[in-house]
Amino acid sequence: MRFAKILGATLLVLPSTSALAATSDTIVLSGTVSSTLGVTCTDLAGATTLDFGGGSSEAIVQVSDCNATTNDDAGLTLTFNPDANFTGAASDVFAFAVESVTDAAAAPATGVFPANDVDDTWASAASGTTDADVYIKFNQDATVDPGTYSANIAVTASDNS
Amino acid sequence: MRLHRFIWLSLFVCPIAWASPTVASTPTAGAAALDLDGEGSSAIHITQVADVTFSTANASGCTLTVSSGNIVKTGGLDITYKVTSVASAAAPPTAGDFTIPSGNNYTFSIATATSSDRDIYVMYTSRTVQDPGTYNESILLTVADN
Repeated sequence: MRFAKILGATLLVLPSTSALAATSDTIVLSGTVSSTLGVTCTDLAGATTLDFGGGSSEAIVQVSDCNATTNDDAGLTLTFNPDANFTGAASDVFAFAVESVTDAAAAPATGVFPANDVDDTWASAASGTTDADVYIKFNQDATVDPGTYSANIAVTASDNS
Repeated sequence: MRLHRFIWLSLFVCPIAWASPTVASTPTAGAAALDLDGEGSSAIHITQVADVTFSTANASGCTLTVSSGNIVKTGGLDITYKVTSVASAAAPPTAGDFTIPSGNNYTFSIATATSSDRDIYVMYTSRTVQDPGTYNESILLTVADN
């Protein structure tokens, strides 16, 4: 009986010593790279001197230069979200469309623009900086009510991954 | 009589278990908060990532082996790193002390039945423009008798 107790105690110790004898371990490393995503748009003089009543033709005007940057390897996307219309104190409104093109490229043709009040996007496919020129298109009205008309284009940047 | 044999066998096995080398690490706070740069600039970083204690009862000592390789993120380019160690609480190593190429094992040996405390350092340099996100890696430590 005494031998049995000693044996039991011995067998109980064995698993404990094995558990203590760790011959391997791991060190977990982790770190974060923050996104450098950003966009800056410079409004051009033409953006605040639009001619709504100079005639009855279609007008295509560059209103802004946008510069964006990211460290995302998949690049970034700019989204241009226009208001529905130019509005003012008078009852007239001017619907308009937005289109972006490569920096310093020719103005977009009328058929390139999306429909009025539809978001336009500009995307890059790699990290770094990208530039876009932003144009709007609207129809003049020779009999427009006098006054000041204004609208906003909201610009947002997002990483592609 | 059979019980006696079991007892003697058990007592014989116990010293073998105690003779196995052991290793245990305690990570530093910096291990989980590596400064990775990649936001328009980068620099060489030498960072302590763990305190390690290893020991053996083997008269010929034992060897600690530490892996190295890449700190990785899905969709991002790997950040390679090298490993070295210094005596516990010693001055940090310099870039020239990292002599083992990334992807190879760093080893440190002791020649007697004793224990050793080492500070584990990694050296890495991210790219100037590095894909944003969290990068991870597990360094494997193993110890074997000589």
